[in-house]
Amino acid sequence: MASTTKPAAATFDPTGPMLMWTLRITSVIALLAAWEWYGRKPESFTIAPVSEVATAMWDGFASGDFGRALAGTMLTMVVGYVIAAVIGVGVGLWIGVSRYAQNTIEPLVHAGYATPVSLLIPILGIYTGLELRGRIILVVLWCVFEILVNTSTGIKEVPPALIDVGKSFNASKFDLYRKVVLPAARPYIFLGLKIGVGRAIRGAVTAELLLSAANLGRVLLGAQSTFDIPTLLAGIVLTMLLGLVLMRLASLVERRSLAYRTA
Amino acid sequence: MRPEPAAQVAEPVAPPAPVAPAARDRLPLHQRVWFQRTVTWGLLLVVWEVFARQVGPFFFPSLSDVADGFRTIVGDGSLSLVAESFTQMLVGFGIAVLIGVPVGLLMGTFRPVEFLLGPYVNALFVTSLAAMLPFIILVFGTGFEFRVAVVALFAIFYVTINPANGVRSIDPAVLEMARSFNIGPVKRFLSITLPGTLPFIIAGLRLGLGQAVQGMIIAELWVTIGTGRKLTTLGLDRNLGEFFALAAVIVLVGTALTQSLMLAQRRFTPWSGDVAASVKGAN
Repeated sequence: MASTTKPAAATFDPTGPMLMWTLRITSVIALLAAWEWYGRKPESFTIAPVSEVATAMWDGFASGDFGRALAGTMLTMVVGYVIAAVIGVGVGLWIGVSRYAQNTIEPLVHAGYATPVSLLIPILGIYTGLELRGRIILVVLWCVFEILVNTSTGIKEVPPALIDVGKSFNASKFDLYRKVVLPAARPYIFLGLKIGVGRAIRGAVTAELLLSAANLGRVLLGAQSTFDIPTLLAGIVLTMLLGLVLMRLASLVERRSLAYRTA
Repeated sequence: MRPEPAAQVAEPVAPPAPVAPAARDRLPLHQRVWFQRTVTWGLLLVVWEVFARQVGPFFFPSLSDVADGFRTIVGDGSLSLVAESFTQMLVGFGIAVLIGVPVGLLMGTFRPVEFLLGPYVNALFVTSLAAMLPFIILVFGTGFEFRVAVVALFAIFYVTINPANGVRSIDPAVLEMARSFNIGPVKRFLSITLPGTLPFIIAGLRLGLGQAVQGMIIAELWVTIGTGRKLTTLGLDRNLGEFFALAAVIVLVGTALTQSLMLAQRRFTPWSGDVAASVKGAN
């Protein structure tokens, strides 16, 4: 305790990891404490204290409701995402390499990208039904343009010097695309795929809240309608954690796939 | 007929050699932009019309249905409803920008700020904020504040994260050089960090604006008010001509706003998009 005089200078470094972690952990504890304190006040009936939310979370998992809801939401999300990834990368590559597609398809894609997908919610049911199929289609629409635009941008932003080098080595057009353009565009494509994961989750949750109540959306809406604030907050935290974990996984995959660049 | 795409694969990024107007005129007809667009988009419209006639107006509106619908919504004052919705959206978006951009710059510049706020911002950035709607409605009610809060919430993390990434993307060697020339932190920020970050900021605004419009629609659909109420009613009535017309108006307004940010990006940060701009300029 008393012998800390020598390394004191080191711990005073404002970016030292010790201090940073202390700050971070303190902030989390302070946040939770403030939440608990505010939630316990009798006049704040819209916010339940963190302890009750934790209990509700436990109950939700114990009864199996949360587990089933999670699985259902993830199924919707994954199916929609895979469809969107195939379409997005495919059409994005086409736009990236074809002048014709750039002239005719790309403006339509930008229109689609600018279109708030939620606009379609009132009529989507007419074409897809309101159940699983409709929700999957909404997920696809929610993330396909992000993947698509990133892919085509990646191809278009390949440094011309790389292509010149390829050409000067007499690469055939096919080899030029496969060995130069595609690898150079990969960071963009993977970025689009990563962002797509986040958007797919948003799409899935929005569909379950606004298109037809299901899975996590049903948990949230049910808790809201019965004014069960602890369960509502637990459901929100759970939904957000789902997004967080999946996004972390996506980042991990992205980083590993691009590891050759930094190695 | 669609021209075979493989037959006219452009060299991926050939355009840096500026395409003179004269060279463009010499393109064969089927490679000219206006010709390709007329044929392809014309074909799409024909397919649309034929399909609509086949399935009938209760399933898919024909072009004339949409035109009729457009006349109706111009006549019955729905456009002022849209204008009102977008005004409210811009209020929420403005709040998001005023908070988000400075926080983002701070996060990019100071590591402790990043260390403290980063996890929360990143977490909220990626997760589904729509999940919070049932809670926000309990806190803010169903009025103006609810809609502004939803819009701000949807947009804020986009306009925070992009500036933060922008600051981090600046070559540290440049900053180091400035420091070795004894240039103060304010000047460093103004002449290196800010210009270097500007493209990211504007890109963040563009993405955030898209999210804000999304938030606007979701909020209005949720509490069935304003444009959202109108859309819901039209959908339930299967008044699809009007629905498509109104949706197109919303998309057009949203696109106009996004495009103005694109223009700003090209005007204020012309160095940021050389490649993309030259590809576009070659069209």
